[in-house]
Order: sequence, then C-alpha cells, then structure tokens
Amino acid sequence: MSDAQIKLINNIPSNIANGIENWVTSTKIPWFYFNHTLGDDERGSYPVNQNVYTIVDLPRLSHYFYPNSKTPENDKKFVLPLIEWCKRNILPPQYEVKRVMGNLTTQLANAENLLNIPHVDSNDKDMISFLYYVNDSDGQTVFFKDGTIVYDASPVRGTGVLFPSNTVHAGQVPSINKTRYVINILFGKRD
Amino acid sequence: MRIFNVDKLIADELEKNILVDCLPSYKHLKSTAPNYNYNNKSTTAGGIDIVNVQGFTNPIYTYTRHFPLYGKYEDMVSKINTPLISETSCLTKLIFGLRDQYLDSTYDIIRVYMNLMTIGTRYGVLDPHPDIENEPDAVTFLYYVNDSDGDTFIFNELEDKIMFRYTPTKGTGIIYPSGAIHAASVPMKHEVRSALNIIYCKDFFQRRGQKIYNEYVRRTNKINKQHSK
Repeated sequence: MSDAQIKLINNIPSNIANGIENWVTSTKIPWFYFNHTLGDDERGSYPVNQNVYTIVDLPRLSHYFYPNSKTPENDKKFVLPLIEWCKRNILPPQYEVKRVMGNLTTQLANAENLLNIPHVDSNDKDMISFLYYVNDSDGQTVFFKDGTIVYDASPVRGTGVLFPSNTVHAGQVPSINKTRYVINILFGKRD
Repeated sequence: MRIFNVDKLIADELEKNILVDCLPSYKHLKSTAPNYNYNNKSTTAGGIDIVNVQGFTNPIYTYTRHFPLYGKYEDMVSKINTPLISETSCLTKLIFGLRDQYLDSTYDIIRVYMNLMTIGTRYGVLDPHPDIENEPDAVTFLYYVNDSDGDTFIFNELEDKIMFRYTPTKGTGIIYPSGAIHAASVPMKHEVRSALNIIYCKDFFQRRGQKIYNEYVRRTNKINKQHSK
C-alpha cells in the first residue's frame, strides 16, 4: 500500500545503521517503563475504520535521545549521524530536530491482530516524522487517512518511514521477534 | 524464608516511582552473583521449564559489581552508585526501614537492584541462581513493586525440588539467605512484573577495613538523613 506523503527510506548508509543497532540494543542504554502506549501529550481520539485489528493500549519502554537524554554522549555519537543524514538527504533545508525518542516493545503471544492506539505525533501540519527501524522485526506500522489504512511498513533494520507528523498511525506488537526497536524523530521548521 | 510487608504509602510511592514516573532499566540477560557458574545442565528446575527471557534491570546500588574482581577495595568505595537512591526517598525509606525493622545496624547494604520483566510468551522459570556466593551472613529482601503473576521459586541445591514459592504481591516481599538458589518465573497474565532485590550483609564493609567502612557509613548516613526529615 502507499500514500504520496508517506515515503519509505531505505538508502541509509550501513555504518549509521550498525552504530545505532549496537548502541540501542546494548545493555548500557536506559529504558523507561510506561504503562500506556502514548504519552499524555499524544492522547487524542482518532477513530479508524478497519476490521483487521483489535486496538489495545499496551505498555512500552522508551528512551529519550533528545531532549533530556540520560546518556547524551552515546546518543549523540550514534544517532546524530542519522539526523544529519536525514537533513542532507530527505528533509527540506529549513528543518531541525525537535524530539528524538526510542521505543522498545517486547514480544507478546498471539499479538498478530493487535494494534496499539492510533495517534498522531503532532497536530502541527508542518512537522515531519521519521520512524526509523533499528532491528528486523515483525510488528508493522500502519498509517491511516480519513480512518482508512493507506500504508503499512514492516520493520526492516536500517530503513524508516518519513511522514507528516499529523498522519494517524499505529504500531503492532511483535509476536515472532523478541524485541522491536524504533526511533521516532520529529523534525520541525526552524523557529 | 519469611514474608514481609511494608506501609501502604511507601508501597504506592514505590510503584509510582518505578512504573509510572519512572526509574530507568537496562536490558540484561542474567541476574546473579558475580562469576556464578551455571553448572546445572538441566533444562528444568523443580519440574518447571527453564526459559531464556529478556529482562530489564537497574543496578541502583551496585557494590558487588566492583567486588572483588574489578579493582582494589579503595577503588570500590568511589564506585558506589548512589544517585538514584538519593533521588528516590521512598526507596531510601524502604532500604533503611527494612534493615532497621528486620535486622540491625550491623548489617550493611551491599546491593539494590530493580528488576523488571514484561509479559511473556512461554511460561517457565529463569535460570536459577544465588544472589551472592560465599557470604553466609548475607540476606536478600525481595520486594514486589506491583501485583503480578510470575511467582518466585526457591529451590534445593540440586534445583530439582521447590522449597518455597511466592506470588508477587505489591507491598510485600520475601526474605531469604542470599546464597539460596532461586528464580523468577515469567508473568503470563500481568503486563509487567517488577521487584527490588535488596541485599544486606553483616559487617560486610567493616571486614574490608576501617577506611572503607568509614566511607560507607558517611555516605549512607548522608542519604538516610536527607530522607528522614
């Protein structure tokens, strides 16, 4: 499936992908447990019209790369090259990074048809999100337009999806792979 | 083996601090005594399958990580990881409160870990292990942060018999000798299982010299005072 505003990015250099995977999947990076899929600032109701998935509100583990990083040295060392690459290759020139967050979801039995709560990353129509897949995993990301599924992406290591941040989307929980790691980068126009 | 309870206010505050506010955790593969040799090749313990599950931990206070393999005793003192203890007053109250209520001040606090496991896909126990070896005076208090399944099991030395079993209940915990072979099991109903593993040992620092003991006392008194106001 495809939608003109949602783009799969699959030409990220492998050295960037390697560095990120090594750091993010290591035992040195702190993860914070949240008992809801979404943060308080992301809540909202985005009804979707589909009968494939059961919508669930599952916990997650998150790591803040920017701002408020607890491990700024390694976060900068491994994730900054990806941000710089995005700026050079896939973003309009006036954009800068506003937030970078990692999400970790763990395997759940019989989760094939479970979908976390559909949401937007921001209501600002000028913001752009880049959802980067750190590792190969199951657990697709599903994108909606007017409540209908218009695009889905499978987590493939070293690839990502670029989309307007006000696009309604949701992630699935992995049921085959033990862990699904993504980095969600929000870009906005320079103030 | 013995069960303990803590005040509801502290239990609520701990749950909030760890699972809502929240304390970070790090992916880990195994949680055991340093250099513990898993020499039991059995695939079961007490008749339950042993499973390899990814868990998370926060070595809040990790004296034993640096003992005695990673440096001189003098170096160890400077590596005591106290910031998280001192930031979280309910944790301090728990750690000192348990010692004062169930032990006495000759017991030193030598390790505090927060462990967290998310709901699993296959039931079983994690690799059975002791918390510490060769310290007969070490005692573990395993405190349950939230209500969960994923019972804790204590086994005999051969790991073929269950000696004790306890279901994680918020605000309660179990006390056992730190050398006891034990394991958590995988939660299959609750989304998360979190426990604090607190180890005390009688005269642990004093046995390592006056200088180290004085430093330990100075640091712990400072933290304790900060939160007893």
